[in-house]
Amino acid sequence: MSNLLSANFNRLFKKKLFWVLAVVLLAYSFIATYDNALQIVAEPELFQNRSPESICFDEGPIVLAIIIPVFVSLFLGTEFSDGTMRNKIIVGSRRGQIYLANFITVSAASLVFCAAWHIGALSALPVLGLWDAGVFGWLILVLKSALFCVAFSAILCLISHIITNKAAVALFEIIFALAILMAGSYLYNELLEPEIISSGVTITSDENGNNIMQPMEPHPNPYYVAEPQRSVYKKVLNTLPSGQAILLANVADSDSEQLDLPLYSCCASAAIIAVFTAAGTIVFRKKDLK
Amino acid sequence: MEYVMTATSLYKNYGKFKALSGLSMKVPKGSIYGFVGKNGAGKTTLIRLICGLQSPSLGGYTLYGIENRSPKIVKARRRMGAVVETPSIYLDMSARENLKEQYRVLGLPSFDGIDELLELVGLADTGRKKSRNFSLGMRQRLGIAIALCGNPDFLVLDEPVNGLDPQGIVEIRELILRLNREKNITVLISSHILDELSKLATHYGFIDGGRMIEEISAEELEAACRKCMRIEVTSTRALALVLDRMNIEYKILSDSTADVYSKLNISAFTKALAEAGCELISVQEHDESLESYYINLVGGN
Repeated sequence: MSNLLSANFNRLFKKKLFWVLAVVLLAYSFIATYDNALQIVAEPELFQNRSPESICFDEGPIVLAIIIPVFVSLFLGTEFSDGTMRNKIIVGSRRGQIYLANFITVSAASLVFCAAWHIGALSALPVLGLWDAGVFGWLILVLKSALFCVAFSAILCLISHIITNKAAVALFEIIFALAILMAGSYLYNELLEPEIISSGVTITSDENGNNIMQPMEPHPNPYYVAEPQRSVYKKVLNTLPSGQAILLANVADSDSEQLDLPLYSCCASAAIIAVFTAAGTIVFRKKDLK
Repeated sequence: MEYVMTATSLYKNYGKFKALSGLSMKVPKGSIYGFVGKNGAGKTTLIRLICGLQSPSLGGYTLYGIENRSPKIVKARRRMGAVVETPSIYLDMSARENLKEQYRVLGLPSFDGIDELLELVGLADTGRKKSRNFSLGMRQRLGIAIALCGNPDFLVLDEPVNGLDPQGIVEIRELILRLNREKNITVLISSHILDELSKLATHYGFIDGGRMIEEISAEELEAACRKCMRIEVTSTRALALVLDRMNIEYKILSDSTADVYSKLNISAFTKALAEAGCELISVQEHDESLESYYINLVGGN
């Protein structure tokens, strides 16, 4: 397996797309985070709820959720479209090892992208100082984002070994990423619906035809997701890599914090990695290749 | 005889379609085995099976005597190289980088031998040129070079000259002959370009409808295809008497036709036949090629 990893990593480091994406992520994260930090300092009254964590993650997980499928589909798709996967099998490499080596390689690439974002986001440090959650809290968030990247890679790796047409797999994985982002976003928004609507006004007219505005009495929100559905939604949100991405993007939001199940989401990511890698190994072992 | 690869009653089904229906074959060590069959006969399917890209639905094969179901088959595969259909190369890498990549896959301790391989396949002067800019012939030769990494002693080539120009065909032919003669590599070549195959192969396997129709050595084929005169007469009994008297080798095909394997003095022959009370109806030069042999074998379907 070390031979396969050596070959894969050599190819990864030679891949221009890998370096371009990593550098673009690093630069984007650096500029976006630094710019946000400057705005917070310049107009603190507008950014009362903005903590250093929130601007560090902000769009990062969502951008990663788009970039990772693009890279994984093109990197692994080449193996099938150029037929080079055959060179490994013909000379006796075991399929399980080929699959694992591919998974480890694309996971490592995803982690590099994730690291590029985090390193770029450090540009907020000189402006805003350390994170509210402290270094330990920040490390937990980094761990969560790393696990989300590897879990997402595990799912994409399986898809890339099932659909062997490079163009088809790229298209499918991007659509898949967008679909689960939309699903995650839907669940997140549903869960953010307040239980009681306490704000709002009612407008009535007096005998002279003048409008009179009166504060509304607090009343139950019909869109509030109640138990037991709420627990299910929360668990699905914390399981889906896209859900984790959305939660990370809104990490400093107090409402979002209530939806976050850090330990559960770490376990869910670990379970996704284990299940999808095991399934991928089995599927790839039995797959007829051309 | 020692065999590098044997297949016994191999079946491969894709849904209801039977690509291989009980195919059996033996590839002798040191041979250039021409695997002949029309499109869809099952040539590439067999190659995919022996390369481990697919599994047989039924039956089995051996590589160097090791059964395909044995875990040791992985080690046996280390001794083979293959180019299946299109050459398997990274298009964004140069020829040298492609070979280095395969050396890494094989876990070879150093890159020694890459220069020799590039020289062997005539790609030594390609430098940093990406293989996406290679001609079809160059890609094919690079594919063969990759297959040769790790010094295999069994090389499988699926339609290696398909789509090549005449110059490319000659280069590949010479390369295969060199590999076989100088490095003693056993080569299995599938092709339906029979004329080209006849310039290389030492053994043939004719496949049709997923079955092996016949396996034959080049010598046997040459004997079966040798030049002769096909003679039509009123009585082959009288013809046989005359030819025996003239001490000429022949083969009776029917009551009225026979193949004669020597040059004839037609005047003397006609006179002798007339004396034996037999009439000569026609004489045709008959030269059976590999192509016609194959067509006769598969029934021209």
